[in-house]
Amino acid sequence: MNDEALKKLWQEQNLVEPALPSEQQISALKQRMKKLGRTLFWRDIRENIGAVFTAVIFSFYFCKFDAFLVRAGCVIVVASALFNILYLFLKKRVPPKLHPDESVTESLRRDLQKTNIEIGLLRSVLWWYVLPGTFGVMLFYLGLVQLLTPALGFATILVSIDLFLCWLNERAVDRRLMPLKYEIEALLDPDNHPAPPEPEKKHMTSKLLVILATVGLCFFVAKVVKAVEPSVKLTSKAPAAIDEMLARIVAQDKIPAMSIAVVVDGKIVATNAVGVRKYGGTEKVTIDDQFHLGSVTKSMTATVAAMLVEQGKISWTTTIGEIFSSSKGQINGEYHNVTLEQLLAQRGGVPGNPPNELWRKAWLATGSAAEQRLAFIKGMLAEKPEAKPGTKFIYSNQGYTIAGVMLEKASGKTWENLMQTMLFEPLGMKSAGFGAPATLGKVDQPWGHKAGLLNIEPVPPGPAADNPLAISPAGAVHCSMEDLARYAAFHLAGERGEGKLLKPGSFKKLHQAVGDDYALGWMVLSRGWAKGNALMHNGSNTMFYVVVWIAPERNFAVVVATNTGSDKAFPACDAAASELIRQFLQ
Amino acid sequence: MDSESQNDAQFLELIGQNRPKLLKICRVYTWNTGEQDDLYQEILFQLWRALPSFKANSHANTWLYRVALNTAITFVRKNKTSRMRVVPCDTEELQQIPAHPTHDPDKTEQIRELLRAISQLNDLEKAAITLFLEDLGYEEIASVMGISEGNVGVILHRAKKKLSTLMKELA
Repeated sequence: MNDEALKKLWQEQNLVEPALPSEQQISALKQRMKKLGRTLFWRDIRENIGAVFTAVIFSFYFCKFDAFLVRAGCVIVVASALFNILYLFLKKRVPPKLHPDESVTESLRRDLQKTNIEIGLLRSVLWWYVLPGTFGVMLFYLGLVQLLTPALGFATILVSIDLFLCWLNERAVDRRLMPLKYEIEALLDPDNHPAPPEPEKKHMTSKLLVILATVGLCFFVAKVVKAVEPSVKLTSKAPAAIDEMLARIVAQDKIPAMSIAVVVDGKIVATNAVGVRKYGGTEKVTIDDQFHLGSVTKSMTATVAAMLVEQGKISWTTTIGEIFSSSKGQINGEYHNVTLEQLLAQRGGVPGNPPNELWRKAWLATGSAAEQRLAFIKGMLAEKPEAKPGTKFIYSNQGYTIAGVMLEKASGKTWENLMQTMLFEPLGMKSAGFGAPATLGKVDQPWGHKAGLLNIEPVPPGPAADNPLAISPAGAVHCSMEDLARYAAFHLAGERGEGKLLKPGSFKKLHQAVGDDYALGWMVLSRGWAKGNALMHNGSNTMFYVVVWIAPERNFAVVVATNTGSDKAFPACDAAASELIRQFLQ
Repeated sequence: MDSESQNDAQFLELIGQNRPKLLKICRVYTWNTGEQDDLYQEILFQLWRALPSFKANSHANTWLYRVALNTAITFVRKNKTSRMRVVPCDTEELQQIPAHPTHDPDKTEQIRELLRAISQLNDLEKAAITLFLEDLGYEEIASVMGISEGNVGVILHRAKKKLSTLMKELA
């Protein structure tokens, strides 16, 4: 068929008229033109809304947190989001706007240029999108959550998302853009166009390595920052905030008084006391007021034991049988081989509760404290242990009392004397003493309180104001919270290898859990805010309540006391300690 | 008459005069009648958008063909990449093309063969052969396509050769 015949045939086609008449078409076109403007506007918004949202959220976090890593992460994420907006805007502006009446080949060349830019963008998404975001988000997380295990979990999720994003983009290039590019190239130059190549390998391994290196860099930066940055930043408004917080807790929980002290980087940075010494009275507590420490005394007994071990007066493995060799016959055979260390770790098999008769006698006992203790432990040791020694943790005041008497025997000094000369004096704990803090008949120090029928009831100084003297090594010390903070700072420094009075090995011994989580007078508990293990003990003679938290990784400690042993005491002190941790370790 | 109404009237006149050309271009790039309608609407829309540039341009024919062909080529490609149905080359759809005005079955079949053969060409060849069949000279085809007249000759020669072979095969 010749050209003319073809043209004739072409012209003879029977055409179908379009669905819409032209007049209606005009209004439809005008409508569509209006809609186009809106569509383009919302397309631009959609493309950038994610980045804008991210920038806003992380700007908020930047203002909320003041930790260096968190802020650095926020700055990087925000900068990277803004960069993404700008980068996409500039890249997409490179091909000049297409005019519908350009020549056909010009229009195709423009399409090719656009496709090549899009290929370049998707292929390099790792560098301009994935890595900056990952770096910022990872730093942010490491600043916020400073524990290794969750950080590793988060890093794994982040790396997986990054890899998936890279893979998706590579896939889009291979499946959509490369065929399009070759199709247009083939149209423009059919004679010199090579066959489309096989899809390239996605090089995911090298991308994975780059992402892992970036995440690794984040961990390295976090470590360096952690080494340089002070572990704790003081809040300028702390004193007022603490005052307000304590007043609130005291009022809410209807407790008589509360006293606190905070240690940061080895120094006492905050002390505060709110409330009254005696419920219903007018005498206000001061920061120098003494509070009964209850079982917090146990770690003090253990600390003095460590000092005597270093002096060679006794060893961790010294047994009850060795110390009381002369009266061995009156001691139950199962106790003979129980060591000092087992007693301090609450694993000596000593019963948690003393026999009733022995306990009644302890309340009525007279004579010196040392005599009362000796009589008490003789009664204890004559009985069968509660469990086979060394096999079970049994929290026991009696066990600590036996240990205290062992120290007295080994040193030839009373437990009170040992505490005073070896611990209180060297540490400058001038307010430290034994028993109920107040003088008989006076409200010169806080009184203890017990739960009454309607309200809490003050317990006047006297025989009922503390436990029997027999169990002093397990819980009889009192002191101000400032002095308790000195003691906490001493253990804090010791755990960090900066201690005095004791060798690092002795501190390690005191702070290392035996069995589950009980060390020698300390509980060892893993806490997120502490960035690892915290040393903790609480104590109560049922009329006072005290809690001590030491976070060696943060170089931080907090002590909180109240002069009541009621049900409210524990949650109130816990709330105050939590609030202080939040304020100081934000 | 205000300027907007003048504009509308001018557009209506333009479309009225050139509707057959546009409909034939649509048929070259897709056989499916639904898609032909979509493509026709799209071409009208692009012509409407490009109307200001038409006023400054004295070569109305060239302008019209450029817009229509660019729109058609982009339309086909978008459909392909968005994985909608691939437009051309379904024999069943070819049967939707209406019979020759004289109801001569031979003529109808010849037209269908021609369209079937054209559908085998690439997008540029389709454009060139459409313009050729629309009786445009080499100079005008070159202007629409943005290539030299020599190149127009090369593309048309290749396209016609393919058509001839394909139509023989089909016959």
